[in-house]
Amino acid sequence: MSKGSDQNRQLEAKKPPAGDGVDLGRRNFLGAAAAAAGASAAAPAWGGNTFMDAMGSFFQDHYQRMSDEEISDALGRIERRAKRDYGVAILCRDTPPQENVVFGYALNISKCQGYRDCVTACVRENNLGRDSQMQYIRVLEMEQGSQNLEHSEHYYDPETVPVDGKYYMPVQCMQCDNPPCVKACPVEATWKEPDGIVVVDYDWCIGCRYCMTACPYWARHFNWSKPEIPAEELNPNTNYLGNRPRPRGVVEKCHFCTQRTREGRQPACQEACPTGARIFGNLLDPNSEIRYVLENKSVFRLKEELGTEPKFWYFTD
Amino acid sequence: MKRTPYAISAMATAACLAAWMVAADPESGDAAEAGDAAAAAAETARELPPRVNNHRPLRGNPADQSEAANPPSPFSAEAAYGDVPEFSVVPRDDALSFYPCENCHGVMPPNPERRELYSPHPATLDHGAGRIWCLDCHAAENRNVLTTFTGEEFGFNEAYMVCGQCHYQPQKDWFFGGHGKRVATWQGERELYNCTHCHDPHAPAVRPRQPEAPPPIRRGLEAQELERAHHGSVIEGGTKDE
Repeated sequence: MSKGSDQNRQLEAKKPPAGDGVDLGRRNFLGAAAAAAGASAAAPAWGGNTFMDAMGSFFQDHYQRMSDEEISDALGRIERRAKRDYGVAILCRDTPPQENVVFGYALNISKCQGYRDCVTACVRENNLGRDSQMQYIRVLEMEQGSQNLEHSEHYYDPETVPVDGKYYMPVQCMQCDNPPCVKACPVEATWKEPDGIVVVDYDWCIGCRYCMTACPYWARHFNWSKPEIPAEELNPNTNYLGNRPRPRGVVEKCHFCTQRTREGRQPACQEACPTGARIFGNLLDPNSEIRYVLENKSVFRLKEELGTEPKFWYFTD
Repeated sequence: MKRTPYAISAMATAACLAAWMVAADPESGDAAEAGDAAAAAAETARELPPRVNNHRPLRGNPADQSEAANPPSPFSAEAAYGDVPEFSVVPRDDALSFYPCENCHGVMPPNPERRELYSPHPATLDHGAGRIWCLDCHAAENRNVLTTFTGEEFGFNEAYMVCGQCHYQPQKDWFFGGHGKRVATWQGERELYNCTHCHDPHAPAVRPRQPEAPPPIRRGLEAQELERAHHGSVIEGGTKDE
């Protein structure tokens, strides 16, 4: 605990003078106001926001209820906040889902060698905190001939991989068609988009973490601290429901790189995988790679008996 | 036609045989010198149908006219699988150090003898367990291209046609997207990495490599998690003797 507090203090100290790191969202507005009333003279007004931005953040509605104009305002606030927090000019967009597209993923566990290149690429692409334990993808080192997840090892660090007698199974959000996390959320801050991606409105999440306990795949992660990202590594191509810089105290998860895939690009993990084990595509297109795999390979899904209908398949050659 | 004279006696049989032999060779002038009995027998034998050999060689079967005219090359994705989605390949020849090969080989006579090669050629061929060698894939007469076992020639950018002669299942998966990797996009133009982009054709097995750093261990979990990582699973100890 003390270590964490020290770290927080250090982070506070590193902040540019204009801001004290207090994100004036709905959640902590009252707290900040109370603190201000309690004579914390160091805090600048509105947490470094302009008055309009602070009010805009406070009254910002749920993503699905916002008009186009309100979303455009919200995107502007996100960009200004990133500029203030990280000193980087980012572009935040709200890319809509494409018509007649439902995304699916297939992963060849005969090919995966356990390099973790997908993890590194994901961290960079999605602006995950470098200092936190946050990683959307966990590569599990499994005993050959076993499917026992309890005996898997995700901290493996040998000289070289693959290790004899082991195989590697990356686990990330399965983008379930029947997502238990969505049912668990008490404020409907997470939902399934028309293209099958389960997304989170980070500005609406209250950080109760019910969804994390509801998820059987360890796919959801909580921001215990504000994500620490080196300014030169911040990915400026961001998306409202995707990789925009997140505040502290919200849950996030893999979103199939909405900022890339909704524009026709491959997700960052597929692009990084050197083995070609990852296959991504449109489940509704009969000529897509993913459909070929599903129709011609022996595939399985993780914990299929739970009825969550994952859109993430594993297969073997 | 009566066949009874055949059964009368051995002599008659012999005469019949002689008469048949004569009949089989109608130009023989000795037919008249046979005995009366033989002549009588020959009269009936002449009416036997000529013996025919019913063996019809298989190679005499009529050729399939439709295919004989212009058979499609078996060395194309279309001929093999018909409905392969369109694709292009990331060019490979500009990644080759000494390409075009004719810079040297254009002035050297081809030497088809199996032998050890020296630099700049790879000294060992860790592929095919000794069953193949250079000129099974490289065209002897034109080193700028690859060749199949049947003599079709393909550029280095079409190496997948050469690889697929033996590795036909990975090749099929590659055509349709189950093997290999699509570049950059899941939508629109389909660009694929060639076989040789990932596999060194002279040593195609994937070599081990150091993994990226493991995830940071959560605060407060250090001892337990390190024990897991270095001494096997903690949970295993608890449930082993159930």
